[in-house]
Amino acid sequence: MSTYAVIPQEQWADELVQRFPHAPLVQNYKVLVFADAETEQLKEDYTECGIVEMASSSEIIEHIQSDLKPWVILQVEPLREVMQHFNPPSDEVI
Amino acid sequence: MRNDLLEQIVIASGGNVTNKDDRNALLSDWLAAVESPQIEMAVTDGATKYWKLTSPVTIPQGGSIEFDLYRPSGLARTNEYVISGESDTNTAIFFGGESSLLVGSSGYIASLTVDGSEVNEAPADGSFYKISAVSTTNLSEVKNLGCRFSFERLILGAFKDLIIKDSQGEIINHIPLTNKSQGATQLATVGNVNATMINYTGDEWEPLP
Repeated sequence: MSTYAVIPQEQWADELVQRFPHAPLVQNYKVLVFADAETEQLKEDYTECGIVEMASSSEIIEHIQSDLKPWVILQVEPLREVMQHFNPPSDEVI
Repeated sequence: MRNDLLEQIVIASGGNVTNKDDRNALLSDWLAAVESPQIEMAVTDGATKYWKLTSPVTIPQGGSIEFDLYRPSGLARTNEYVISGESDTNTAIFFGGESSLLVGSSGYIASLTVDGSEVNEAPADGSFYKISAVSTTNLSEVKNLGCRFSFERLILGAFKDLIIKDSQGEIINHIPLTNKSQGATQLATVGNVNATMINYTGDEWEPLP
């Protein structure tokens, strides 16, 4: 499985759009996808961003709704719940 | 070249690192990965990953699209998208609910079968199902696997052997999608359209069920 980071959209646009061109948008945040093996290096490279790790989707949703700046490192299960919370599936099947 | 770069190359080539501090071992691992491609499946995450073809492939009238689709058991989701065109739902196969497959209402794609049956049930049960459908028009074209054209409703699962045939049954394009050493972009063995996994990291590969 991969590891994920939810980061402010403006920071993605300024620094990371070329490395992560297809980062999905969730509210005003972008979702970066990287290999598990890259996690520690990413934390070192962007330590000034105030990286936090969260496992609870409700905690991450609150982080996003509060427009907080630190990066959130998370796994795919809470990410799916967060994305579904902000982009609920439409009733329209097609 | 630094050992850490070599280690990344071995992993990206689908190989296994035997000793990350031994340069000769890393080179040997790299050679083994390139010489013997691992046959595995790349499982998408249902959140950020899907396959995008390098260009849309037209499915000629009377021709067909075939592929094998796997979804892990215990993770059934609803209304996932299976294939889509570049900019609309005219060429579309998707789930209505958890396991029933449907085609787009345009009628571009018809005669959907699952393992040769028209029941069209492909439950998320940890096995591959062979999906096949026929094109009713020369306007049918496929661009994405595992998402709607708007990059929503991403599937949690794996594809293999995407095959497009013409009305005579001749294969126009075939992408096995199982060559781990090729990494993010999987090459066609017939035709010239390849498939690239979006948001690929190399962590997607798993043994075939």
